[in-house]
Amino acid sequence: MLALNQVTKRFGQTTAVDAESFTVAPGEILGLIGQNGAGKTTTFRMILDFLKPTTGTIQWAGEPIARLPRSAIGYLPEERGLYPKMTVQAQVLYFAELHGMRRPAALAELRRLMAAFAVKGKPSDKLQTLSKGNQQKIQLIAAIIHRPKLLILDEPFSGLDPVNADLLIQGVRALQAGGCAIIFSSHDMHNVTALSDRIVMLRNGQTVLAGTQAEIAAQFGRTNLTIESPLTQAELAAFPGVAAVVPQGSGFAVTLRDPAAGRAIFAAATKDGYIPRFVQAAPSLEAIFKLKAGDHHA
Amino acid sequence: MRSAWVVLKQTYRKNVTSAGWLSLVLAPVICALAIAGFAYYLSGPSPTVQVAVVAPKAVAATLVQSQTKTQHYRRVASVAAADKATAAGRYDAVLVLQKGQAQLTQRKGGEQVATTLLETQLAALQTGLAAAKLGLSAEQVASLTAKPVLRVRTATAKAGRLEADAGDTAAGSTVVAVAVGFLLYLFLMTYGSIIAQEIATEKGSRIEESILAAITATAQFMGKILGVAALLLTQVAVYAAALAVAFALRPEWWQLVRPYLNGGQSGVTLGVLATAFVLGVLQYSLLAAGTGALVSSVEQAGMALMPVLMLAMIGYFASIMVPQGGGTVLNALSYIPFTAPLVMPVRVAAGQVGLGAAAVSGAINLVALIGLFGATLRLYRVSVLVYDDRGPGAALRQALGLMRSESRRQA
Repeated sequence: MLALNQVTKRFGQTTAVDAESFTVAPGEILGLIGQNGAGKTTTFRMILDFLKPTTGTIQWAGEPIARLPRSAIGYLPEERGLYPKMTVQAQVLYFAELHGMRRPAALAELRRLMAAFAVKGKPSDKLQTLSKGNQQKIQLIAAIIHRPKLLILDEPFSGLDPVNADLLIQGVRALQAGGCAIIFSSHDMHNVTALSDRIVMLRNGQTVLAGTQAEIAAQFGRTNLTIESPLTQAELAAFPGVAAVVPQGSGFAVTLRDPAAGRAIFAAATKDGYIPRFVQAAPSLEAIFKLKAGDHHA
Repeated sequence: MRSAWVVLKQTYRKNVTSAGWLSLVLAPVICALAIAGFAYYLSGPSPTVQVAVVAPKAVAATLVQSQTKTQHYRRVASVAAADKATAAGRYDAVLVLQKGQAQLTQRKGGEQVATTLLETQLAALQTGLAAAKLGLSAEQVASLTAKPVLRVRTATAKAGRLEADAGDTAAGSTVVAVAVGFLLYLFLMTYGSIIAQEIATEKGSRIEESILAAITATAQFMGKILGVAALLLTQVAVYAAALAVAFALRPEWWQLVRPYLNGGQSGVTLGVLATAFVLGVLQYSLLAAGTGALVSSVEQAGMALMPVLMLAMIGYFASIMVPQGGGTVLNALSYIPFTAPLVMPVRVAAGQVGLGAAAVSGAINLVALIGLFGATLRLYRVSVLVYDDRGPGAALRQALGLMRSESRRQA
């Protein structure tokens, strides 16, 4: 298990990460979210031992992270980088060998992963001849070909269309099923929602959210209401505890200041019987993200 | 070490199959082959010059005996017959020897008579005739014509007296040392650039993070240095093989070179040269690697490497000046790291210093090399993932700051 305990990193007068603590168990996926400059990449670099924490500890299975063999770590950096004039096979095998794999095994695994991720290209193709999305897949393959115990993905979905994003999610799930501890960052809350078992949100280096999606949602209450009923926009807005009513499709999206207002709205909407839609839920992760990021600016 | 070995293989394989490296290595060999082929063509079998000799029988017979493969003599009875035969193309020239005078008529369009050779042969003929007239024996003629033998040696002024240099090969050793110094300078420039660009390319294209997630910066650093060293050794091996083939095919070329390699002085010089070569290549490779780690893109690598190349240039030009005499500055440069590998071997070859001084210089440079290795490795580790578009100077300041904060943290 990966364990960060009160990790702080300062660069001169600037605190990039402040008292950060979380764990990622084998077979668990942690989504690390935050605005640009929140401290996500600094966190990853400390986990990778590129940077030393100013204070705090980072451990794997109770030992300092520096003792974890590099062959057990997979990393997909935010800034994509591969050798453009080298063939796919040559460079993936190079990275595989760096991680301790033997070439024959790496070659077989490369072929399997290229098929699994539907890479459009051959192992003998030079990387620069592939599209950006396929280059991205190749870099991901290079990060996971050695079946790491700890996988760090920094913005893995950038540049991927929805179909390829789904393929990536499937690939990550397969690694999860194999017991890999996975931590990733993304600005796409849809993918974060789809993939994460737990989420940590950073803002200016500080942890502002932590927990499972359900735990996080519970912190905000069921304040989002989607309704299709005979009630008009004005009637909905008149209920106490309603903050805003916005038309949405053939109904309305209602934001509640008080989740309890939902009962009164439900009773009024259904007084004449059946209504096609009434969903009261916590804000979406994207909404929570904006809310927490916006707190700083409020 | 396994990961360093993987990096070494990758660095070596990538470059040894590249058009740039292959042309770098093969260009001098191709040039040398072209020059050799051209020289061979020009020195091809020369046509034999035919000279008709009009002279008394005995005189003509003596001349015929001294003819060479390229210049033949044949007695003809009369000038008229010689002229007629020459006009018909049987001879290229007519030589008339009468009353102690020699007249050579060269046919236009015919092969050129080697007049210097002819003059030498006629002088010998003249001497023989005069000796016969004076009744001198062959020994008396030999002692009359013997030339004095002049031996030349160089000596170095030491403590108010002259000490002769060992053997006649001091000058030759100096030539060899300067030549190898030039090669070392070329290698430093070439392979320094390769190392700096290798590192700058991986850093600039952001591959560095992926690599350092797999291996330590130390392993990558070692792999790069050793990989480029392997390339250099390959190039040296190619040239050594080419020379071996050339000397096997043309033993006379080996005879030209061999005198420079004889003698104890040359043995000492070669030992100092080999040590200096290794020290110099390692020193500059480390310096170039550190430079490559400071830049943010391959475009900056050339500019960042300039100070390193200037340093090598100072050493090289100092080494050229050594044969003209010593001096305080040259003395100092033969001990200072980075310039010593270029200057000290030439000073040893020229007899200005002995093995003791070379050993002191070697020790200083070895200690400097060890220190440089540690410093460059630390610099590499902190700066290889630091990107600063303000240039290598700003990157160096930032790296030094990071090194200080890391030291404080460890303390």
